[in-house]
Amino acid sequence: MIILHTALAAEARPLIRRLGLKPGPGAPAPRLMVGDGTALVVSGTGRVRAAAAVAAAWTRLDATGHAPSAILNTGLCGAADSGRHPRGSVFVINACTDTTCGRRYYPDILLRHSLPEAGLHTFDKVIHSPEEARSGVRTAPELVDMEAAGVFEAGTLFLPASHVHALKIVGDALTDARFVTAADVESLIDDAIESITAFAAALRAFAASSEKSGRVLDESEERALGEAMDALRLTATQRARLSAAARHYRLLHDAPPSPVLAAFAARPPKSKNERAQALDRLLHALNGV
Amino acid sequence: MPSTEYRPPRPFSRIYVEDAARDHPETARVLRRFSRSRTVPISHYKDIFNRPRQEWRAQKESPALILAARHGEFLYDASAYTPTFGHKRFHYNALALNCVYDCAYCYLQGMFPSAHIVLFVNIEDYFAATEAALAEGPLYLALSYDTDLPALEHIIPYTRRWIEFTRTRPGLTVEIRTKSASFNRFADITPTDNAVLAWTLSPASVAARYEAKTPPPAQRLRAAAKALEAGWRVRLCIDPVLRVPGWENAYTALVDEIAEALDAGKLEDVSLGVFRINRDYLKHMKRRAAPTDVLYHPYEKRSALATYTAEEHKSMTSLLRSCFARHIPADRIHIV
Repeated sequence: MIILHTALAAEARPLIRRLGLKPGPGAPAPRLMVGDGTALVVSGTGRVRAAAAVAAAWTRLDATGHAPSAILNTGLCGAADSGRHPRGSVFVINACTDTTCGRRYYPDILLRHSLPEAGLHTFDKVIHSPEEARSGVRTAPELVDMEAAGVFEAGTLFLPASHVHALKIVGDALTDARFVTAADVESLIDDAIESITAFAAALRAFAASSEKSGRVLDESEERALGEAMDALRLTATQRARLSAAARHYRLLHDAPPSPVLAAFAARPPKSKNERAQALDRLLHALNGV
Repeated sequence: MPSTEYRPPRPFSRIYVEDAARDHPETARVLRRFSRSRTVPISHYKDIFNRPRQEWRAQKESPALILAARHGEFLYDASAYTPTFGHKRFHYNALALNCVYDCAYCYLQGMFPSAHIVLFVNIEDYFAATEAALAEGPLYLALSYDTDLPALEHIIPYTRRWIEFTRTRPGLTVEIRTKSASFNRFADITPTDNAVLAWTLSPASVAARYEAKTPPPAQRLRAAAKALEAGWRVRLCIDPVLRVPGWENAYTALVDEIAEALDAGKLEDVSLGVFRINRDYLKHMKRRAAPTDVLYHPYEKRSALATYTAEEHKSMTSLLRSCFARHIPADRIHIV
């Protein structure tokens, strides 16, 4: 499950239509929509609301057994240099500065994409000019918004920095923000929808791949291991030793340890002494080099 | 949402540049070399490298480069688990953190929270620190310790520069340890007695299974033979020795291959060490690294270390010592 986050309902509407999202579980606020492997939360404007909404969405989804594996903030931003970052262009954010405290977030971009990248500064107020954006910050802003730093702050509480990203669409050049209407916002997101959904899909694929990559035993092998542990009535320490031995066997022989485990599980011990002996034999059978 | 397969980015397609390293000439050189890569300015390398819960395996597939400037310490005391070859002042430095190779048993997987590669560009500060240490007496310095420096030579030519630096410092001996096979990069350098080139070798079957992205041992051996012929001091390291099925035959065959490939009597020495690792590192490796049987072997726990039992250790080192003793004097066989 991936959480998409937008600040505005107008930013969310094209995504809801495109992904066929329906109202999700839990309280009415923040607004949470869900679909196949995707949830979308709308926070309202601002860094703190964004952080709160992401945390709330996470908690509500986790409670229904769908712990999210990635978070993507998307929506409009302003550009300090409209020549380099023209209206409607889409950027993957590779650094985000929270201008209230100076903290910088660097998403670990471990997936391949073909979009341009840029740095983003998150402000707590509307910025009306490039000069205003530059004043009081250490590095000159490329793009500015009001939410991404909150999403990174909350998102990285739950997930690694490689699973929390922002994808921004340039909506204005910091001089004309008040002229961007809800219809304009929807239109800009609609135009960028292929880029947003493709990046979100790539992020979801990355998260799924990273979940699988550390796994040694598959579900049936884990079950066989658990059954053997229960049958032998092992202590926590003994369970840890058997778990390591089963993994060693799986990796060394490239074969499931289940037959070896099942043979021992079929003969439960009658005493502590028998249990210790059975465990020794089982560990030897699994570890023997 | 369109379904898609995970596609990792190209290795080094992203280069983070620390503010303190931004204007250094080595930084400019590396950025020219990777002109197609995306550059991201960062405040400090630890902002990227030291953060918690990183995706180690994905990073290892497509590592980013982090160009940084080192501050503070430049020389470290050698670990208690490494041989000192009889040198009283044995130190190592860290010109880079992490390695382009992907060995299943490598302690770096447990030591560093990230698989991205840090290169410290301020080599002149390392030289200055070494000069200062040399003023207090002769120094033995391992350069390729938490990395494989020669394998990074195409990115930053530090091996060559250190050899040139060493040449004019009589009290300094450097060890440059590698699994790289590209001796040709150094073939034009006149050998110096101040540098020991060390190759780590494993049986081909062990390398194929546990040493991803490394050149085959036969190629490494050819590189070592060329260096020996050219007049370099050459050390061979069979370290770590792994107790895999059929290990006796595999390691015996490796020693035979070495004896065939080069004049073993001319070797500086041979260093042998069975797999041993800090227990905390092993714990981290199980969580971070690609799972392999090496990580789940039932090692004996001795204080901070996980390693083979004393009996296993003895049988492994005895076999290798006796194999090498046919080709090289016993006093040049070091056992860790």
